[in-house]
Amino acid sequence: MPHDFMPHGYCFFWNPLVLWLGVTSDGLIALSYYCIPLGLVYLVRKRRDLPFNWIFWMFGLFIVSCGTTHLMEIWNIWHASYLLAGVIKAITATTSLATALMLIPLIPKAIELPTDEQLRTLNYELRVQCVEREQVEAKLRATLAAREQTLASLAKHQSAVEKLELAQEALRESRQRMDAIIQSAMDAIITVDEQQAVVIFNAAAERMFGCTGEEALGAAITRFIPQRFHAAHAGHMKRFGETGVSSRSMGTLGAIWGVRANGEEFPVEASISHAESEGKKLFTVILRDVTERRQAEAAREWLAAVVDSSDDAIISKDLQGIIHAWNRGAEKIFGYTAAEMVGKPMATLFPADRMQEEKDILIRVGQGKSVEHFETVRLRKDGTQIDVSVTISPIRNSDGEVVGASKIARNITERKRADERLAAQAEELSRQTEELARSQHALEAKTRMLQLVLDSMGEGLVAADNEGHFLLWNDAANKLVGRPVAELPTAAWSLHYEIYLPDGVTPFPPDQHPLARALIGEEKFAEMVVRPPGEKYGKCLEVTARPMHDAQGGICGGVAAFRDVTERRAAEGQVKQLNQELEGRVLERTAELEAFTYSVSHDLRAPLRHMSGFTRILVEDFGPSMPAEAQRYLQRIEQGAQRMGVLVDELLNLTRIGRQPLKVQVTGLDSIVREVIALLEPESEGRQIEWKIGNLSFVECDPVLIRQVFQNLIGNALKYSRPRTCAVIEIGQETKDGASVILVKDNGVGFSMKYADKLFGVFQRLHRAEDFEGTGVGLATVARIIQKHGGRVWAEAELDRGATFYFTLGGSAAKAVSVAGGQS
Amino acid sequence: MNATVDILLVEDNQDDLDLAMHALRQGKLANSIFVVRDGEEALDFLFCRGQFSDRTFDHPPKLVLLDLKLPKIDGLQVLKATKSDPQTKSIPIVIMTSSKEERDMIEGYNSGVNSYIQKPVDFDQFRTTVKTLGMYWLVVNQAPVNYAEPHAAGATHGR
Repeated sequence: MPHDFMPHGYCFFWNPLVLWLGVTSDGLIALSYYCIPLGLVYLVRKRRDLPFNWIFWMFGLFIVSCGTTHLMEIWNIWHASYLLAGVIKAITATTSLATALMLIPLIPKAIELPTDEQLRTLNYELRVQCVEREQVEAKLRATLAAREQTLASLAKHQSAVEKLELAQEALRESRQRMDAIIQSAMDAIITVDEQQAVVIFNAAAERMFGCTGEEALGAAITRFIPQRFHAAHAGHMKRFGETGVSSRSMGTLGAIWGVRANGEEFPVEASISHAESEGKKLFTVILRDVTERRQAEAAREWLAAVVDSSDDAIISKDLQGIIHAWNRGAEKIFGYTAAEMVGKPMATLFPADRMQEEKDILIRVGQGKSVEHFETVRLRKDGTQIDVSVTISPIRNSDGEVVGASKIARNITERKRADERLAAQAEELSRQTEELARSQHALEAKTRMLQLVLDSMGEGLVAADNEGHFLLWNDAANKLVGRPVAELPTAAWSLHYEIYLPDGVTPFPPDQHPLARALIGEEKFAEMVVRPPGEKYGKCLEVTARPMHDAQGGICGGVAAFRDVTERRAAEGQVKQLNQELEGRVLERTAELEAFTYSVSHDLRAPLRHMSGFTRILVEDFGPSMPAEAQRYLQRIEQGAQRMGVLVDELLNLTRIGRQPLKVQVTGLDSIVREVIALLEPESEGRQIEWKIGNLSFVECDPVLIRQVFQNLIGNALKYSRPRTCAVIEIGQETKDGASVILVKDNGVGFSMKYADKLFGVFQRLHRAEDFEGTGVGLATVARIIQKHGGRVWAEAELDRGATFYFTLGGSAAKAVSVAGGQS
Repeated sequence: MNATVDILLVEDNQDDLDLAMHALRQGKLANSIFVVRDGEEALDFLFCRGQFSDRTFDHPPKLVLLDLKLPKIDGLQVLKATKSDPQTKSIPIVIMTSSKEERDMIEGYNSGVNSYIQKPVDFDQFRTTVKTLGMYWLVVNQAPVNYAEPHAAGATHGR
């Protein structure tokens, strides 16, 4: 163990001088020892011809070992690896010993190595020998040439022999090739002799029949023919042998079958030939297993049947769009037979507006792309257009080049219609669903709203079923009655809820209770007083109850609504009192007004009369002695008094209309108008007036007042048409917006519509008194009268273009028209 | 004072009175007109009492022109009193007034007035009206010889 020994440094007490002297010396020795072998190795590698060079390797080895022992010396000063040092020294010893032992036998050999002098002598002798050899060689060459001539003549005989050998070789090769061909033929080749024994049975035959050549050779051919054909086969062979035909294909009379070693039968295609060899008849049969081909054919036939029986049109075309194949589906869909279409361009099927499609399709197909489920329109033979779904795929030849396209077309006209129908149905369904959802939503909203309405109602609401059990009882009902709902017979309600008649003391007769009446099918209203517990004064309730009807119309209960009218009753009392007071006041005022009017009619008119009268007397009695001017002034005083008299009269008339009730009777407007026109004759005297009086009906009105209306309106028409040489005044009746309208129209001076609002005001005049006399009361009177009749009066006019006054007589007029109609 | 009176004019207003007189004069009807100035006086005259107690019922006026607005007793009361008394009810009374109040008219006719006339403002019309009235009642109309039933025996004085 390293710890068991002291490092060597301790031996010289780590004296630096001793230590470093040792270390340095050992180091240098090791370095030198390592350098020497390097030199030796280099020498050996450069002088490969050095004898005994392996000894240099030995030297190198032991010198390296020696160097390593010195390195160990240095190591062991600080570390105590003495065992390792020992091992290295042992190696060194071994190599040194081995080298020494090997060197010993070498020494005598090394001594025998030639010196330089000896070598030079040897070189000279060698050169002399060379020259002698060259002379001998020349002689030899001459001898050789003579020999070659002899050889050439000899070779001619030999080539004949060789040719013979070659022919034999070719024959052998040919037979081998023949064998190889027979053996490697894809078809089974079996040759039999006259005894029907197999003489040739190639590899393909082995594979076909599952039997080795060894087994087959010499076997009877019947071994490879199913039992049922044996008899026929013998006949065939015999006949074939006699025909003298050298070869023919077999199975022209029926399918040929073979049988494998495992008993499996399979279809074959065969040809037979016979030949004579060395006087023997040989029959050779070449067989091909057509199982796969038959399967492929069957598959192809199947495929063709599928294509032909498909309802889809399956068409193939080349890249020029010329049709090559046309199945029965295509005939059915497009109406053309295959004979009609094969060789024709595909474009025959395209409607004129879709010709571009074929070009696009051909380009796409040419690029090796397909077009899938492309929906379009094609032409049938009969010219009708049909909706088709088309899938077009490129057809590639065995080199992968696109040579054409297959097209599968399906008539989707029906499907499209069905789709449309389906879509319409779906839409209808979704619409119905939506509607249902909407109505359901609306119903829910309505229910919520009803609940809300019930909850927020100020009116109490109670519903009961036929037996008087309460179904519904809202908050307001609870509050108004003050007692919770109780299951009681109707007869006990009055007592339980303390219900009284409006007098507040007589218990409400139970059989008269509105809800009780409603349950027996009556609609009932009642006022009652309810005294909730703890309240001194009862509440006055108005109760309305109605029966509830079920869907069959039978009574299924009743609903009572009631409201608190306590305050209203109190208020009504006050209102009644107030009304009485007001009525009293109105009477008072009316009396005052009448007194006023009375005094006006007496007291105001009297002075006017006096003024007028005395002025006239003055003029008459003293006129002649007065200057003319004074007379004119007197005249004006008189006129003023008279005007005022008229004014007062009209005003009084106006107030009288307001105060007096209407005295309505059925009146013929026509006669009134004619009376008025007659009355106004003084106005129209000497004037040219064209009267146009239309059909005027009978109406219900106050004839005295309506007469005043016409008097005013016709009077105005006469007055304001005075400047016209021929006045045209039209009085008629027409229907406007369902109402009967009476009109008075003139061609007079009219007025500007901007003053129309002043037209019917008292004392309002649109013309100067100098131009047209008047008081400004006439139209106000008209308006008052029409208003009193519940009608409406208005005017339409244009300055200098005449005016038209219209009025209706309210509901009474319409009634009268029907009366008039009934009479006529 | 039992002179023959053709017309009893009951009028409180001087102006109206003057105008009426003027019109009557012009109509040549002013020969025997008696004027009283209020309702009381009118009733006294008609019922021959008070200052007219010397009058007798057998000489009633041929026409009474009665205003409605009168001091003390108004025209309608005068009318009613007159027309409700058998001694006086056959005396023709014509109301001549400023008012055209229907109420007055109705009451007047209900109380037995013989005619109701509104005085027109226009003097010409007034004059014509008065003249026509006078002519009618004094000339055209025939009155019974004896007015008063209780005093049927009394003879007429004539004009």
